[in-house]
Amino acid sequence: MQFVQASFLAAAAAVAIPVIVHLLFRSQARRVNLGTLRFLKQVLERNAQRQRIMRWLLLALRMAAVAVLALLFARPYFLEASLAKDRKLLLILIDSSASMDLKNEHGRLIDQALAEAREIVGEQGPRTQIEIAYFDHAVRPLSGNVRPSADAASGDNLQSARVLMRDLPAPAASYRATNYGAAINWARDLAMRTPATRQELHIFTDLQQSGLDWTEVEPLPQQVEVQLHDLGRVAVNNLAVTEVRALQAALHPGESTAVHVTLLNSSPFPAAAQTVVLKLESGQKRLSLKERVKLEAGSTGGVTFETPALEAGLWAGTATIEADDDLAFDNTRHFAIRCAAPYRVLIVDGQPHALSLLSESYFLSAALRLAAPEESYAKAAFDVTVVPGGLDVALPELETFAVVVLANPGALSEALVRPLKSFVSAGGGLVVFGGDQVTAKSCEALRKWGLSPGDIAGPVLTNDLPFRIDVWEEHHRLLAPFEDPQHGDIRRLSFRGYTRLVVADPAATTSEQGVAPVSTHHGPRVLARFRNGDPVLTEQRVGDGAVLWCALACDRSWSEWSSSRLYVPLVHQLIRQPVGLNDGGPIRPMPIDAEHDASGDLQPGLSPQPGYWNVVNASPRESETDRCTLEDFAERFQLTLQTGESTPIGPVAQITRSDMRPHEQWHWAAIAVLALMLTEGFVANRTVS
Amino acid sequence: MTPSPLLTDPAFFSRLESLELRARCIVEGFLTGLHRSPFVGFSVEFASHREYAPGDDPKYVNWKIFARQRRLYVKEFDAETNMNLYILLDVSGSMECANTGRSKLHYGASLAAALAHLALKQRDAVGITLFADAVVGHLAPRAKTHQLEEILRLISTTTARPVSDASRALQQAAELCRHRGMVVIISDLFDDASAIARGLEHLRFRNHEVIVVQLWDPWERDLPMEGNVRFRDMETGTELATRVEGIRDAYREAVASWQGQLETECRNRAVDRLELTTEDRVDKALLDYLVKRSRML
Repeated sequence: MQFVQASFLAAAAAVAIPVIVHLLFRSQARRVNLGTLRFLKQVLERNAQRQRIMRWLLLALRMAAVAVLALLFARPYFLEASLAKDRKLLLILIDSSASMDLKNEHGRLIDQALAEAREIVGEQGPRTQIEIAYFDHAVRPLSGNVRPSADAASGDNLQSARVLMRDLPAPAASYRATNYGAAINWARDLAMRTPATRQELHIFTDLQQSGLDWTEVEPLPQQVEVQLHDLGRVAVNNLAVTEVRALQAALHPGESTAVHVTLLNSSPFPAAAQTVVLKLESGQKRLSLKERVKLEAGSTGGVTFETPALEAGLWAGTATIEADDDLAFDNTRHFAIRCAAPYRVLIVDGQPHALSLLSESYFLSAALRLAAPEESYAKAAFDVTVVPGGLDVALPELETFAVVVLANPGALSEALVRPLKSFVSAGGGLVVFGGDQVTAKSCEALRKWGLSPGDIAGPVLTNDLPFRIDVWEEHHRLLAPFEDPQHGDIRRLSFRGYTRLVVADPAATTSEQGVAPVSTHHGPRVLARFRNGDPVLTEQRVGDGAVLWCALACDRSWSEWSSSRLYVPLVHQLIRQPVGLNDGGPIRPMPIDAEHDASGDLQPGLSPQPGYWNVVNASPRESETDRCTLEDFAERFQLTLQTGESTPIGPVAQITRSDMRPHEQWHWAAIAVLALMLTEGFVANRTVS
Repeated sequence: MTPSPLLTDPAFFSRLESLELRARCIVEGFLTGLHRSPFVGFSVEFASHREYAPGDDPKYVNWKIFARQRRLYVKEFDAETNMNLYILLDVSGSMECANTGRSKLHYGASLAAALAHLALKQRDAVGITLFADAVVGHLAPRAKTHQLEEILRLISTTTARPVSDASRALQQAAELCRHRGMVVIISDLFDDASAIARGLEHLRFRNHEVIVVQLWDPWERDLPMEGNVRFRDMETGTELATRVEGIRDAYREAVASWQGQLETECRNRAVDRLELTTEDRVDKALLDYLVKRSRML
């Protein structure tokens, strides 16, 4: 048994206290005169033997309580049998971020780090547990290979670690940034849960300053001896493209745009007349633009490229600074431009009217086109086509449309619904607005083909209190813009009627708050509800597409919401949802960071995904090659750095730290003290002094 | 010992005016009192006539008989005479125990004075005997008016003796109580019950009506205090320290056992036993007892 605060054992001398207290009490007992002590003597003589034993027991209990109390403050702990005694924990963290690909006179920094780590592992004596990990924006432990195996009997993994380090290949150049916080957290967790009398942490890194301030980090236990192996170079010549941004990521064919490229010169010297090349490629079509730029030392700069009119298609591009610098990973940055016609939206008007103002789709069409009838807006995201609804209507070819909107549809024949089902299953979007013609009978075909969220109960009207939207999923991408009431308070919209939707599986779609939590199920999901609990908005996946039902009428028949300022953004969000625009659109930037690169194999470039593209680039933070000092590093993570060479392990290292050790036994001492005090009270009340 | 205020308190004595102490048995005496005497004397209860003799008080001549028979007869009555009240007051060291403010000796002296006053008011002869390990003071019974002063003076000038021997003292006191009467023993009786019984036996042998008034200091009887206490024996001076909570119950049992034993000894000898604590009011206790006794008579 060892003690964290061995000096407290001196307090065990306080076992004399009960004796002193006893003597003091004897002398301080108050005096009472009695006419005779004959009765008292009778009583005491009768219990004399028993009381004598009780008194000794009481004294023993009191002395034991004091002794255990001293033990409690001394904080005893058991080193794990013979294994934990004089055991050493060696933690090795090797920075594998992109900046470690830097070269000096001995080669790459990462190679040097590996070589030094091998030396340290080779110097270790027996009874050393070794944990090794690479780290960049996350920690990648190699411990799986270093676990005790053949040498388990000795309680260490020294041989396994030596074999591992000998065979470990140097990692290839990476694009990942540095996060010291993650590394320190990993080391801290291991140090806390591993019993060892001595703990060492070796960090091989280039002390990149940008890696310091990422996350909040708990300090390491104080017994961990930290050694920082600074491998970085004093001056690094690095030019980087840190951002590429097209002013319009989505273009219509024949439109041009500007692409702004942000550059960084993190070297201590200015870079004069550096060539920046912008390349765009779409199929066989290629485009290359060049600009020259001058960058001051340690500054950022930018250059803007004007593209010519682009044809339809996905244009994958790169912006490259042609420089022979020390770090090449950040010389090129990827981007993409989608050049396509506006999304075609087909509105099937259930109540067409000769006077367009009175037709069901009038406001919806105008809101999507962002232009009054007979007018057009060139930058509108949607190309709207309106056709009258009805049993005998013939829909145009749906393949050219992105979304079909049924506005207050009347009776729909199966001949019409069947192609709709195929359209949605293939990835198209279907949005259905309610109205007085939306009934169970008229929508039977939709329900039959799985295009409705459940049963359609028909219109619900009120003549007194209007219906209001009460709750909705604030974090759903469709409704997220309305989370802040200053952007438009949905609760203020009032309705005289709505189409009642009976969602098939309420348990799966509602929560205690009345709105379904975010989930991945494919059944209907209620996104918003009226105060009476009826759904306002539902969403469901059908095949690769999505179906949205809105219980509101899109015209003015049941409310004035079409003339409110919420109308345009709401219907835009509704139409954007099945297209995927609410999720980021067809081109989505993706930095290589801990969130997106859990597996560690993400590479820069365009990555095709179902329905969209990811544009993957390295984190621009890694391009900042400014270094911090050892003191900055130590201060940031509250470390006490070791400056000297490591000393051999003593038989039992003295531990005088204030932090709790993993095998402390103080709680047992506390329980013992409590038990002793309770017993003492029990015995004392039955003992005559 | 200084006389307590109660001893000279007129209010206290006036409260006793209403009490009448009647002896349970007929005792002989030579003072006319309210008690019936076995001897014929002058009183209100007519007994018989006898011929006039020189020296007889002419007021007792029955003139109606003289008118009829021309002979002088005087009336004879059953004399209501006094009793002898012997008060035996314990003045041993244990009687000085005064944990609640008033010592048992103080209380006993008050009680003795009250009894003496009562008896003298009805012209009974009162005497007092102070005892500890032996008789330490004695005043023979008198029915004189200044007897109360004598008794009070004796009480107030007597100091407590360290050791008591109730048995021996009672034996000696019995020898001093020559004439038949009532003996009131005021003591804590902290002695062996059998030894006390022997003393009582001696008193009863002399045909005395014996009343034992046993005095307690409340702390002696119940040990109501808490914590560690160092007890001191007031007669021997020995000390004993203990924690009261641990022995209180056993102590009370021991006291109760001894009282039971004492009660049995008294009952076997037709001795009345009255138990009082120094917190009981003297006059109330006395009244209660006399009422109880009058019902018994």
